[in-house]
Amino acid sequence: MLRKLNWRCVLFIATAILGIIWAVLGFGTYGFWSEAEGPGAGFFPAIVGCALVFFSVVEFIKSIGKYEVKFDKEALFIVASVALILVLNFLVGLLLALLIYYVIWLKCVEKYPWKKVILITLFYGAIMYGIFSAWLQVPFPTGLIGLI
Amino acid sequence: MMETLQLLGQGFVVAFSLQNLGAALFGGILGLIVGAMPGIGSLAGCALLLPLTFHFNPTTAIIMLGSIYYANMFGGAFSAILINIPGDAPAIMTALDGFSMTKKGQPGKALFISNYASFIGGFIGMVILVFLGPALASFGLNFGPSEMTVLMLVAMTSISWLVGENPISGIVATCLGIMISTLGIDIVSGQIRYNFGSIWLLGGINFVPLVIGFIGMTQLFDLVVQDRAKEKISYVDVKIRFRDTLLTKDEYKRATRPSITAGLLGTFVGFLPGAGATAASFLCYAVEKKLSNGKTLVPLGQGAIEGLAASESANNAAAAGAFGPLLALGIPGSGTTAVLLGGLMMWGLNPGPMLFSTNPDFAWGLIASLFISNILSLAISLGCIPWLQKIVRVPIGVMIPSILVICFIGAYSTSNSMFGVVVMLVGGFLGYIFGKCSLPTAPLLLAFVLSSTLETNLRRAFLTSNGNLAVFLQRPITDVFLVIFLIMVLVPAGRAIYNKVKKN
Amino acid sequence: MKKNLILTVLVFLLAAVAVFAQGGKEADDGQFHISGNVDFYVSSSAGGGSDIITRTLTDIASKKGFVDAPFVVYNQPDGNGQISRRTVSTARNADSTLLCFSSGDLTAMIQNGGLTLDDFRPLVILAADKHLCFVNANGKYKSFQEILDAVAAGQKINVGGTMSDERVVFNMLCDELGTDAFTYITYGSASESIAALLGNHVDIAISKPAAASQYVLSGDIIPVLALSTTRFTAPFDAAPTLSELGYNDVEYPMWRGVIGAKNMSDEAVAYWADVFKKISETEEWQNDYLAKNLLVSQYMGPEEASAVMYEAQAAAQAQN
Repeated sequence: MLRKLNWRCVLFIATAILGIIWAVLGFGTYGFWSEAEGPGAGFFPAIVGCALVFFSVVEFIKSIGKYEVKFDKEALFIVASVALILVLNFLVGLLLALLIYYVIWLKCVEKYPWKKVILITLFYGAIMYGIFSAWLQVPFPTGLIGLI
Repeated sequence: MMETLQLLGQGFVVAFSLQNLGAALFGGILGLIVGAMPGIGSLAGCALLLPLTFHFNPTTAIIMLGSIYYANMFGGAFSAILINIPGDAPAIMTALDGFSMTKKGQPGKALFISNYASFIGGFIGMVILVFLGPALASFGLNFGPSEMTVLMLVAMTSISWLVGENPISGIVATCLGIMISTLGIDIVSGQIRYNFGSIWLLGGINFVPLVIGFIGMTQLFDLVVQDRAKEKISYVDVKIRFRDTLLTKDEYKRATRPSITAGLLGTFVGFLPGAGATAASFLCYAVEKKLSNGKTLVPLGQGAIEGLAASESANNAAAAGAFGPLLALGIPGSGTTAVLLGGLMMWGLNPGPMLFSTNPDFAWGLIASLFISNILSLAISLGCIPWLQKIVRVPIGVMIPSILVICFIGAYSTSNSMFGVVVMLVGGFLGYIFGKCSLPTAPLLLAFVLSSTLETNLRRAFLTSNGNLAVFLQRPITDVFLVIFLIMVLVPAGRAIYNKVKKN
Repeated sequence: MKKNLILTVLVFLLAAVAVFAQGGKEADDGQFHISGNVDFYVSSSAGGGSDIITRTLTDIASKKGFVDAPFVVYNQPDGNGQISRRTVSTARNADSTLLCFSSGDLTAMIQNGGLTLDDFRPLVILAADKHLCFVNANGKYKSFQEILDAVAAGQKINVGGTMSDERVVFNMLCDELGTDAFTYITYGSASESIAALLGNHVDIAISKPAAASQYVLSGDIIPVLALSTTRFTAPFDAAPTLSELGYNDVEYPMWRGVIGAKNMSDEAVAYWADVFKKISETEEWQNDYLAKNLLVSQYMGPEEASAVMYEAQAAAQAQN
């Protein structure tokens, strides 16, 4: 039985649990219906939560043993990239973090020669910095060091 | 009628001075750039560029404002088509077919169709605005809570048309989208709900970072697989020539009819207070899917010209339609028109019931300038196509970090806080998992946009009637939509049951 | 060799950017001076009401040279505005961090919980506004007395308005009238609630004068009740106050002002109070902001503003 469970089934278990949370909070905490005012803050989400539980269970049963879901290990490149940017953002601010990540990706993952890396980075960095930061004045976080 | 045309003609005379055309051109170019930036979109784009207009005299300034507004709408489609990042909400539907065309090696064609359809939609919207604007705007006022509720029900039901072979997965995604939209403060009662103790969730989830994550970032996972396997160097490996951009006669035909239908319907949706361009582009897309069923070369969603044309035309038609309530009643139908209202008031122009009688030259000058802006935006964006389509030839290895960087910057810029980035990342990872588990994401995003309008109006309808369901039966417009809704639900259900019985 | 060159270039670039970004100058003439940028937070997105007043203020301050440090405006609408409020309350550079604050923000802050005025230093109040009740000229009721009669006869009345200050004044009105015949329908903005009134979807709309003046002039809607202690000026002068109808007056003035971080020094408070006083006396402020938005000029310094804000906080807390 357990072997037949695939990731799709796990996903529907998760959505069913979310549905239960929404329904319980909707019926209980936030107020489903009041005589004077009709539907309360929990009315709409509670109904949708119930519907989600029902349809998740239906799909769960239909999916058992039918689908095979495999995640690509290349996805880890993206996970690592995001983690790197978030850590760097904390240290040096968002714009520099993105710049450093960009260089690291081109050099270490794509193995481009330095000259190409610098040229591409300067070109792209100038466009991004020019439009968002210099022109549109988006106040980007500066991190612990406080540059840019 | 004659008088209207005469006034419009005078408006054109004013707009056709060298200085005004120059300002419109300048505004158009800037608007196009800003509109194409993910996370900025038309609302923030107009707000950011508004101060630029203060350097000119009122007439020139307003003409420039109009062209910024229109060019923003044109630009919104660029990033959706070229790199699958919808710049703003209405562009979700554009990305479906537009990016599919890009992947097939037709980025220039997709951009051309989108510009062509935007132009037609905008033009239809403006013509209707000139002749029927005030009348339609007053009619739109009849849309109270119960009417909007039933209209949104119809829209939500039509989501099911967009879901492929497995409708129940679509319903699950729809429910999830609705649930995400209930996070944060309930605006009807002012009560805090589903924030799970976090102050970040108090205000709910902003739509733009969610879309950037679910669509823009999610595609990175596929790209990185292709990149590592070295199976493809860039999005499109064939050489792209300019003449491939031009449409054939058949393609013009395929793009024109949907553009006109969507233009008419989109204008109407734009006139309704609080419905907006997203609802318009989505509804028209769904309708187009029904209308052109089986007649397209490829199914809608896989690079069909019809779908792209319908969505872009509706988007621009609604943008023009939104000027109806704005000018005739002073009611901004969307966030962007609210910013424009602010801009007009800066010039001492008070849109509202008095506008056409107290400031006719101003009002007609603005309308004339919108016509000109539409043409200018078309010219500018067509001129950009040869350069823009080169973007898809950028190697995937460079594309991956570039897209990730722009996802971060775009998500941050929507609310100037890292919360947007968090939403974007969660959306990106969820989008990947959903894709792997064959759960569609488009219904989730659409349900997210539509459901808050549905919920607030449903509850308002109950409040005004003190919890009496009869409010949905006593009003003529509501009845019409209810009948449509019942047909949409009962006919497929009846057909399914009939088929089952026949089988047994 | 090549690597070294590139590194040198990078370091040089970074240094250049750093020098560029700092830019601030120190002065030592004993007077209070702002070092670095002034961070001006706004809890609405670009184009909203708080955004417009903030941009007007910073424009005038820079143009007239009242403040020589550059302003950086942060639009942070996340968390229903609570994020920007929390950021300001705990800001590190407390002397040069400001927050645009209105009674609507105050109501939202109390509803959200977690923060009160004790977490801030009230600086100034710059403008004030009060509310009116409007009815549709083609609607069921033509005056507030007719509405009161209808309530006495057992009718239910639907009232439209926005989520924040108008809801507070609505509750105060209901308490004074001692009835539960009124139902409050929340709308996203003043123009939405007036649109609902024009379409006869509500019986009364509560609004500030600026959003309604066009429709009053065109005769589409009629002001029927002034939620103030005195009548308004034309074209709203026909609306009586509650005391004229035999009740106590009800009002919840909507003000707009500026507050600072909790740790702002007394010198900084005095400095900013002075800056905003100068701004409020300029012609640009009177003509381009106040007159255009039909607002009453009402400069209040830190002491007075503090008193008004705490009074409003007490009213909002009482209802929560």
